[in-house]
Amino acid sequence: MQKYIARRVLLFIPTLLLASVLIFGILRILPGDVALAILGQEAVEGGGGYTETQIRELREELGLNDPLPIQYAKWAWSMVNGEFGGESIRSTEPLSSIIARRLPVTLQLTVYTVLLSIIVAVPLGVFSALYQDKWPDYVLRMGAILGQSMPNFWIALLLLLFMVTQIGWSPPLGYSNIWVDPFHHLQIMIWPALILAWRFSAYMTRITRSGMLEVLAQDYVRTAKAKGLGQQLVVRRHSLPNVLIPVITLGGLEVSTLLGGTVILENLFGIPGLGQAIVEAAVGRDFPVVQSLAMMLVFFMLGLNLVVDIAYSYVDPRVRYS
Amino acid sequence: MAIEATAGGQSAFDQLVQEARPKRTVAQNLKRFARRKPAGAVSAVVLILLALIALFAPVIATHDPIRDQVAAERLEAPSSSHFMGTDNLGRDVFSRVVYGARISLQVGFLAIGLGTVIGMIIGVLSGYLGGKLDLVVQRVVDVLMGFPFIILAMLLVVALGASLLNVGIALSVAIVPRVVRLSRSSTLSVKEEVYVLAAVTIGVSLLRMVLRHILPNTLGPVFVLATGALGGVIVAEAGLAFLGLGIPPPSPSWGGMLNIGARGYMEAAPWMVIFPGIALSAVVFTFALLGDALRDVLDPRLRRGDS
Amino acid sequence: MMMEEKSRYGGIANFSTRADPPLGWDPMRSGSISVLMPAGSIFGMGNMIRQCPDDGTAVCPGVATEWSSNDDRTSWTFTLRDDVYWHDGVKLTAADVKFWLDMAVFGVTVGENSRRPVSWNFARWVESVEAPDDLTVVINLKSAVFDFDQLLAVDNQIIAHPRHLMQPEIDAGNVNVSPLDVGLVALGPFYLEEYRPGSVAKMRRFDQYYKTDEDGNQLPYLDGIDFYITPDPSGMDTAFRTGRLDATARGSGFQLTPEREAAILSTLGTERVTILEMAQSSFWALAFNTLREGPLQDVRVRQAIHLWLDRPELVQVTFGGFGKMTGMFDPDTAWANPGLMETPGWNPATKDADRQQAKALLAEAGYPDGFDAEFMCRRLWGFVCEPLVGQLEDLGINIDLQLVDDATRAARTLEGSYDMVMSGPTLALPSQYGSITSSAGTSATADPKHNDAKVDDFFVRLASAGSVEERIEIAQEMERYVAVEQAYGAWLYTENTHTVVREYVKGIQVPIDNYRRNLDFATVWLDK
Repeated sequence: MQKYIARRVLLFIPTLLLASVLIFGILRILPGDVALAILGQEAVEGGGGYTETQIRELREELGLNDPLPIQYAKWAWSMVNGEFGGESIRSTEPLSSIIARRLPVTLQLTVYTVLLSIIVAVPLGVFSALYQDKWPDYVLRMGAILGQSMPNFWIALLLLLFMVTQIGWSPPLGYSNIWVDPFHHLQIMIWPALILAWRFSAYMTRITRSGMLEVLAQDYVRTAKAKGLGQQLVVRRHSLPNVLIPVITLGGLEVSTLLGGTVILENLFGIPGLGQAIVEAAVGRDFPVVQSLAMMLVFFMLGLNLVVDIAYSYVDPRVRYS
Repeated sequence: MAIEATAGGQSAFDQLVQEARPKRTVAQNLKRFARRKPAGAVSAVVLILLALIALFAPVIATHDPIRDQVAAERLEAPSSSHFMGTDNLGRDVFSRVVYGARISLQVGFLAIGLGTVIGMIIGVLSGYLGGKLDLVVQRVVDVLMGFPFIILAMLLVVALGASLLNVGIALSVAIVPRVVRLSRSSTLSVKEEVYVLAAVTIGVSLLRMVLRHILPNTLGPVFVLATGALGGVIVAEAGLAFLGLGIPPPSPSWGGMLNIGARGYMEAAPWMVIFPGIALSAVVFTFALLGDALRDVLDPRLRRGDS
Repeated sequence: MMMEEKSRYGGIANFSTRADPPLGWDPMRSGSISVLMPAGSIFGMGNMIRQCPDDGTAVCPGVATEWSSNDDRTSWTFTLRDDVYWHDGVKLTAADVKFWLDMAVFGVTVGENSRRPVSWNFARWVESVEAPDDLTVVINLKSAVFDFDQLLAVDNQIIAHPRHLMQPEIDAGNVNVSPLDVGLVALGPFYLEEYRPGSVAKMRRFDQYYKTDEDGNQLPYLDGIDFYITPDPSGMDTAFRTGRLDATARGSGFQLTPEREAAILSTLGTERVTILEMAQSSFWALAFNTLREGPLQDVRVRQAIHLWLDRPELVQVTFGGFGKMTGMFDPDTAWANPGLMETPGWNPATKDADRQQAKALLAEAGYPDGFDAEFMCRRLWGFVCEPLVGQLEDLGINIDLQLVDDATRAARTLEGSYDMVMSGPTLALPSQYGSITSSAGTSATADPKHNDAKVDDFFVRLASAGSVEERIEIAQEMERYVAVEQAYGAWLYTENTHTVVREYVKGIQVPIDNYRRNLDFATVWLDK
């Protein structure tokens, strides 16, 4: 056991390194740099022209002239020493403060979504399994698949439109943290969380259902039933615990997909999270910001996967040898 | 499904293998599938219809989806000359939806095709060869699985430029790590099978080994995964389109049409959002349904995930 | 502007802005509406002098009370007001203005760190700046400029750089200190109370603001403005309709289309909403690259496109009619050639003949069946480029539309790796004629690509003209040569900016000539 954990933890470091190289590399194939992004945007939005001299001056001013390996080394070191990549080129805000401001927002949205999904998906999945291939099962599965079939921005826009035209209400503006104004916070966050949860719970319902089906077919469950235990008791005491573990672990592994889904909804609902910032910074070629925020996301996700894997290995010793 | 691929003149060993596996013809398989999974069968039929629509789009469409823009016929409601109304540029929405089937299927199959082929090559080799290669591949897969793929796809589209091909490539990145994991783990399990060990003993070459014995066995689960993911890829294209990173206009991609429609014409011309939205959701829905049915039939193992 | 009703004090307005202001809210770095919209109320508009709120071509006082030049127009003297304070209570002096001018004109260098000068048009004429006493600023020019005051008065050239706070930073080596770094301490009617990036910026009334209304009442009227950052236009529309916003944002993609406007009016009704209409003052053109091997090197092909494009239809399908066709300049101003809109290419009455002529020209140039062309377009302008593609395809040109972000667009402009590009910003003469230099001349950063020295010569002549009349004559000659004779681009149209405010929002000064002006909101008050 300890050996397995040690191995997993040791592998975590090269994985992170690899991720950092990948992120750094992808950004360098984007055309243009931050100087061109700034001047190019100014030329079209501010109505001013620019010259090649200005490009040169700006590049100098921003210190963009380091060779790539040095840029990478500087960045990698800064991720370790707590500077998290220095500061934004465009806004000069330190990255530690950007991350502290934005990461919790996205994480909260993710947590709400996962919680909502579990609350909805587990009972539905069990229910669906108990009525396998009967109409409640079909209805539930259709509903779940429908949630996966509609683009979430489209559901969001329809929802907003419905609320405006039918009840004359829209979520408040100006995101605030849950510890500052919980009611205000929830009024904004609940909608994207619900929309994301529809899709995510579809996935969770499915794994709960198939997990349940598998467990119900096991000998010990059949024995329990044969002993004359009521169905409720069988489900609650014998089946559910065995289903929940894979549900939670598999759910954990899919959180990265979920994080991606927040990007569009963050924009639509004006929620200042990570996804929004990464996209904006990539368009602006503000590489320190993209790199460090993306790295934080990957770090978080890989960390989560690590924890899930280790937890799973306690439950199911077989994985240690695969 | 892939089992029949090994029929024909074969070595004694191959026959041995044949006997080790259950036998069923394609027709029998299909019949069994249709009986056990009616929803899956219906969705398969719908998808064939869709493919036909995509193929014969020029015949079915009543207008040119790009050139027929008429200011005077802007934002018209559905009528006998425009079955689904007209859009903000006065183009026929019906024709654009019909042509859109082409684009959605193209981008879907492109992404899935690329993703599965690349993923399987890497996954099977990594599983079969093991060692350092496997270790590195595993790490790369970890990283890709850990990265929110929409963000990765967006970065790739910005880097490569938005075009049908590039959007397909960017979206295939979502599939690759999953296919690698899956094909690797099924390779690992096949590797231990008696008939494969036997083949190794009698000195079958690596390439033949992989092509003949390992690949066919991993194909089933990968096929299930790919079918299920197709819908997801098409929705993801719509998401990219919403951020302006999908297949560029004036190509009638459903995602792009939804984007323009949703941005400012939802109330003035609801048909601009309703019809492409229905088309998109219906197609994704059917793919998901089919994927679901296939999963139950073909691969009970998937229930426990692919770890 | 209607001011019959008595203005009232108090209240906090909820306004919308489309993005966090980029680049440290620095107007020296960005003239984007994303900076000016929320920052105008903090910084105030203009500097010592400014464009008049109701007439952008006239010059009004800012923090200066009077200004004059010597006889040969090489030295300009400004006298400052004696009652102007920074938000932290420090009094504004001539030395502060000199600090700001020096920073803009010459940049700053401390050791290895340097801050680049600003591309404002007045800057290239400045030789030196003096502050002989606390209230006098003298600007010495390299050569005579007859309308230097007009160049200096441009509204987005804002004093947002407090010397007493920035100088210590600069001395410490932080030459790129931004207004945000020093807490946005500035001279405008409001100060910054709280800024939460990505969600809201709260401005509150600055009691020592130097301006009063016509009756001598202290401005501003409002207690404050909350600027909500609404990165999505649909989200913004929704919030306005449910009363969470009192105004919609200005800026491309956010200003209203007829359909969005109708949707808003359908919820709120016409009597609860005031529609504000402003000019965009930028003239869209499809610019051609004649330096790249291909059909567009042939002037007949370029003219064919110019003749083919149906501009009234484009205005209709692109902006729902919120716009009008233009040449290089607004046809309703003196700068444009009189009657240009009745000539082939623009005139709807001769469109059929023009289109036949276009086909003929294309055949004559050797492309009767059309050709392939790469069309680069800024991603946010996709909706503008799409209808053009439809028309060009109809002419037989097989278009590969490439939507790119600003950095890619700039990089490819330098490379010249496109056949055509959508060109947005050419601004009205006279105050900003410098920007046309880069958007139509031979500069590497210009959108149309050509090696025609004659075009550059127009800009030299424009800059050194001795009177407005002379300048108008040169502008018209340039328009005939660039837009018609050589057709380096097909000039198309200008868009009108529509925004809406709730009817109880009074006193907004609507900038009829350029939507980036009049953003200090000092005269706004709430009637509720």
